[in-house]
Amino acid sequence: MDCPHAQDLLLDEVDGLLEPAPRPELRRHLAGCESCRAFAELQRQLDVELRKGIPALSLDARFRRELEPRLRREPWPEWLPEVAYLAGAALATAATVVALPLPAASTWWIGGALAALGFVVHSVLASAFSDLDAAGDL
Amino acid sequence: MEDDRLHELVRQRSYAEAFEGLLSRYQDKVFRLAFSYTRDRARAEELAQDVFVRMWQVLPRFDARASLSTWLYAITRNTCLSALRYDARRRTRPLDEVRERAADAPSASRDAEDLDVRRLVDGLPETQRRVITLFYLEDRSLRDVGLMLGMPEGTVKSHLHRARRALAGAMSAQGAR
Repeated sequence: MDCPHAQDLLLDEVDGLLEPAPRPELRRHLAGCESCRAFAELQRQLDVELRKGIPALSLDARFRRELEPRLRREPWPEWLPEVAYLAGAALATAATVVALPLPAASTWWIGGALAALGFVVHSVLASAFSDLDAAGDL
Repeated sequence: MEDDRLHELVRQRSYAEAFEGLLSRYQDKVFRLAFSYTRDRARAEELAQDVFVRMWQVLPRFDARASLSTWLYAITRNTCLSALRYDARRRTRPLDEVRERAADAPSASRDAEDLDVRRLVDGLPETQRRVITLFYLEDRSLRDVGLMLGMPEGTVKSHLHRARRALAGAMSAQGAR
């Protein structure tokens, strides 16, 4: 057994991924390798320090008390993004129809402004629901 | 409440009951995941609240493509990353807040060894720091850490081993000084 393999097994032992077992090949390697013995000792010491230094964390009852007032509103209906999108498209179409009889230059300006508005609305919606898309991709 | 039961409640549109079950089962995990990003208990609590408010708002859109916990953890990670970006943009903080944070900082009378190991962990690259922090917070479960960070267990193990090797090297260097 070489040192990298021995050290990987030692790390698995520290992580608790290996059941306690004699593992004679590893013990033979350790008996003859001072550097791996030092590595094992250091890793055990580090594990103890990490257990002490990263203590358990949990929330208390205050968390729920503070959360409840923020939940009073009903959840967003599932059809919200589709309806918002359709409403935006309908508004843009109606505004374009209204702008058509105007002189060509005005139509260009209004068309450009509506395209920009459409882009902004789309970006806001995409951003609002990006969490959901990201989760769905996992 | 088990995940299958939570899925069933969402399918039946019993959102309030599903949300209550989700909160009971996952509030501490969401908090610890947020803490692994922020390293600040108060900020992690704020973000955990934001996550559950967001979850409440969007629960009707859950479509079961991923499990509820996968979805919740992804929302938590996205919320934390956005918050960290926002915090990084706020270059100056009000003086009172700075004073308050200084008062919350560990005092010199605390165990010096604990402080050293925390400082060493803080010096690790982001992903290694998150992995090793969550590994100890989550009772040494590679599976839970993988689910929370959206990583395969093998990747978690490899980050964990790299972190352990780096910390051991830093500890030896500190001991040699």
